[in-house]
Amino acid sequence: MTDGGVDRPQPVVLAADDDEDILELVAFRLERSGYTVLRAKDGEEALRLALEAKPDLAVLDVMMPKLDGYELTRRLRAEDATSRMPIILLTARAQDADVQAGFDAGADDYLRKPFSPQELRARVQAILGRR
Amino acid sequence: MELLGLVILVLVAGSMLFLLTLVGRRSWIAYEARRRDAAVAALRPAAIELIEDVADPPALRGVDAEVFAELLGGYSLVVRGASRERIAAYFESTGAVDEQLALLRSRRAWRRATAAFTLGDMGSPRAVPALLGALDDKRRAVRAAAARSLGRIGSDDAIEPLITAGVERRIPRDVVSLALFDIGTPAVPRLLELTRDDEPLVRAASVELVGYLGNAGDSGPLPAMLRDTSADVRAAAAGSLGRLGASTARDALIDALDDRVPSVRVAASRALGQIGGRRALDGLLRVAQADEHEPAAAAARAAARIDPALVVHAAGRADAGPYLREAADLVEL
Repeated sequence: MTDGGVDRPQPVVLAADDDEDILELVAFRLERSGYTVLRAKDGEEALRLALEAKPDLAVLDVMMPKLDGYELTRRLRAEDATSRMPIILLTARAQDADVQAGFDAGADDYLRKPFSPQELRARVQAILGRR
Repeated sequence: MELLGLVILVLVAGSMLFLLTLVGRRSWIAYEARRRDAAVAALRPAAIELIEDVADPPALRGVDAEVFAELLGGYSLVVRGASRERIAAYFESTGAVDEQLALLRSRRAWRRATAAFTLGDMGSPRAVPALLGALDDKRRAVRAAAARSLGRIGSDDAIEPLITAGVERRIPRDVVSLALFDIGTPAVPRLLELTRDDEPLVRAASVELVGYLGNAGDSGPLPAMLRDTSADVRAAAAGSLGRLGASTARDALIDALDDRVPSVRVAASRALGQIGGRRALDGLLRVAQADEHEPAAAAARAAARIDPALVVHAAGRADAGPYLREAADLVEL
């Protein structure tokens, strides 16, 4: 990417999902859109990668082993390094209470499964474009 | 003695053969699982490229073709829109949809059920008429699989048949509800039409689903249903008005606190608790103090939700009754 003739690194997105099929689909879509994608298969790995790499945005599944998406979001919000990192939750849990729980935990957006990969890309672009 | 020895030898040989068969079978299963895992890892990129319209699908046969189809079937559960349409187009192009449609006519129930289920994962709208027919299959498993798949495909044509099948108990109501949830908000206009059906159970089921799938803007026809001749419909309408947060229905719900059927008064109380508004408090407190168990308890909890301090104060009166006191205790907890 270039900005005014100066090379800028690609934005880094952390994608976390214990379902490898979904994780690779999300990563593929975002990599094709020009993002560098870090992959995590559970909440603890995602937390470690987030604190190490300080990505520009995180796309997190809610139902993950070791640390679910809600708790992961709370922990990221509690750390100075990641407290302002945009977080999109991606999940099949579609009740209003689940959506509210996501926002209460500190998520910026919530995408329900089944989802459109194009819509996910658009939301990531919209969030990163505002920053 | 020789005979005994021979018998022992045969038994030992048979046991060894049995053990070897078990070990061999287990090894074969493990080998097949590793092969399939390797095939999944190798074919996943191609499946993603198909879903993302980046590349044509590879020409596959045998186990690879099966694995690829399973991958796409799995993806069809988590994606929607153009991605899902591409999956359906793939299954059409390989003849897989036609194959499953033929199996849906099999004499064996398990084949029909499997085919009905698989057609949902394939996502082809062309399967809808056959699946609608399968809602009348003589086997419950086939009917349930067809209902699930009609929800997965998301056909508007399936809404009324699904509701009817649930009302007639040909398909469990939970299966019908899940199928309609899969269809989602596009089902709401048809459901609103069905709230005017001649059959009370159809009206009740439809209005209940509007409450789950719709939004406050869909609540227009619902207050009138609080005066339906069927108590099931009145209760379902009250429940849906609460879930939709339809504050414009507050007065109608307050009137419903005087319904002659307890379940309707319960539903109206809960709805008022969800919608809020101090105007409901007089009616709720009256029901909480004077009504029978379930409506009184529901009214007390609803009042506590709207104004906890008022309920705590009201519970201190001599004529408060056990339900207000219980609600006040819960507030103070």
